Amino acid sequence: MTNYSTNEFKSGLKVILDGDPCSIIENEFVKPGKGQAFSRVKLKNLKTLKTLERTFKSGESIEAADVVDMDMQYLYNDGDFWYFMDLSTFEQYQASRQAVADSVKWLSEQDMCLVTLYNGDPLLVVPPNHVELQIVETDPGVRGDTAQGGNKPAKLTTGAIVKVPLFVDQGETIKVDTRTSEYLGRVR
Amino acid sequence: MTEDKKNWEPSASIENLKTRSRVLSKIRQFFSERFVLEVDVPNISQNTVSDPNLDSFSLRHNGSRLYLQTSPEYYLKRLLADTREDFFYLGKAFRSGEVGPLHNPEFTILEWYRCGWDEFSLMDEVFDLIKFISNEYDHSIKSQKFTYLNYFQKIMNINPHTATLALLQEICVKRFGSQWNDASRTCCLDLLFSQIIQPKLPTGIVFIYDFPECQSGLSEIREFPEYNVSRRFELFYNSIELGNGYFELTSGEEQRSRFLSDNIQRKIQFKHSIAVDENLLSALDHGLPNCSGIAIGFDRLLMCLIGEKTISSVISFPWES
Repeated sequence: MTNYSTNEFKSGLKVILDGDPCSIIENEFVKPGKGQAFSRVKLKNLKTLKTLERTFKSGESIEAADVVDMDMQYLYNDGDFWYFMDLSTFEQYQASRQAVADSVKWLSEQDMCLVTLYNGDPLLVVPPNHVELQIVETDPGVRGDTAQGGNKPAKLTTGAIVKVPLFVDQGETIKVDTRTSEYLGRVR
Repeated sequence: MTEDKKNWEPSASIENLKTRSRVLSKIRQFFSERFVLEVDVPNISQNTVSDPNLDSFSLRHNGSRLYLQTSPEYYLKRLLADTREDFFYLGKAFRSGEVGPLHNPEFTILEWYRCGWDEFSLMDEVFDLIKFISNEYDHSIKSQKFTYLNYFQKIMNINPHTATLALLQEICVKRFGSQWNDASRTCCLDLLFSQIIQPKLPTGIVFIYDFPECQSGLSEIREFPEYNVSRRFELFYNSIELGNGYFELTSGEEQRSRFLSDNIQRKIQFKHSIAVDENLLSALDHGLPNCSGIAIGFDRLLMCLIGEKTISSVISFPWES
């Protein structure tokens, strides 16, 4: 079991707090001139994605979390699990519904995702920043209407619903930013 | 320090360095007008502080261990005992491991002593000094004094001197997590004061005095019917701690016993013990006049006067680590 002392704390370090893996966002050194030194730490719980703040005595140490981020290819899902493959070892990993969470609406087969492993199991799945997906349902396109603003909802093959300009049609493939759900353009 | 700066460039702007130079000369002018003598004391000594919360840099020379001084206090007290004159030191001090936006392990300290003065007269002089050096930056600067008890009761609704350790631990655990359930009394108080009370201090200059007895350091004790307090005070500027002062302890015997209990604390924290500074104790035995003294972090004071947020913006080059 590895431990990290407060003087090794830095942003990005993965530790275990109250049994959950957390990532350190920020570490501030606090010390009264004549008193005990503290580390005021801002962390993200990697399970709940909630941000929390903790204050530790300087020199105190906490357990390191076995957390690694890996690029993996999304293969398929069987309704219960989503399967990913490390292309360098061809090893497959199954991610729970909780791990894929909201990312599920962007996952299309063969896309490369960032998978966070905790003790060897997928904890978090982050889809590519940009994905190309086909529209399966939207109001008919308004021809020639390329200059005016305005938009309409469109449903994509993965189930995600994004706002698209009025001129975009059903059956077209579009590029979307998965971080903001923003429409980026048509793909020919 | 701005991110886009190249490594070789200084971390302070030339404007800040000019202000720094001007403020340094104004401090010297202030004390010279008041007949307080500037003195240079060694930065390297065989002895160092035993305070469990201070770590000294050490170095080896001809087989013996020497330390960079965390403050000029012991040398200045030896001068006071010998001469009964007022002295100030304005120069470097070193504290290992203290790195952050408000800390630089090598820093400039302003420390002075006034013979025959109590801590309240010294607080007034500290404010006079700050007005004198800040008149071109902040005309509206105000000063207030509160007891430690006063602010603790106001914000936390407890008496820090009489509250049980169990109650203090319970509050710390509730606010900051289970790792505080075995913290010492002084550790709980430091945590609550620095994290909860200090950010709520009024703006401007604030003096907090009559610290808990367990945090007396090198100060005399003031006795009340139900509890004792330490005749220690701290200086804050817009909630940032700038300095620490004492109505100084003069008993060599009492000082020796505090040094010994420091070393017990160090042992508990797995820190090596520090030999008692016999030269200081001999000076106290010879007779330290009744006096008050204060040490101020000059870089932080300057940072506050200019309105900067980090200490590195007022020192020429930052700590390399």
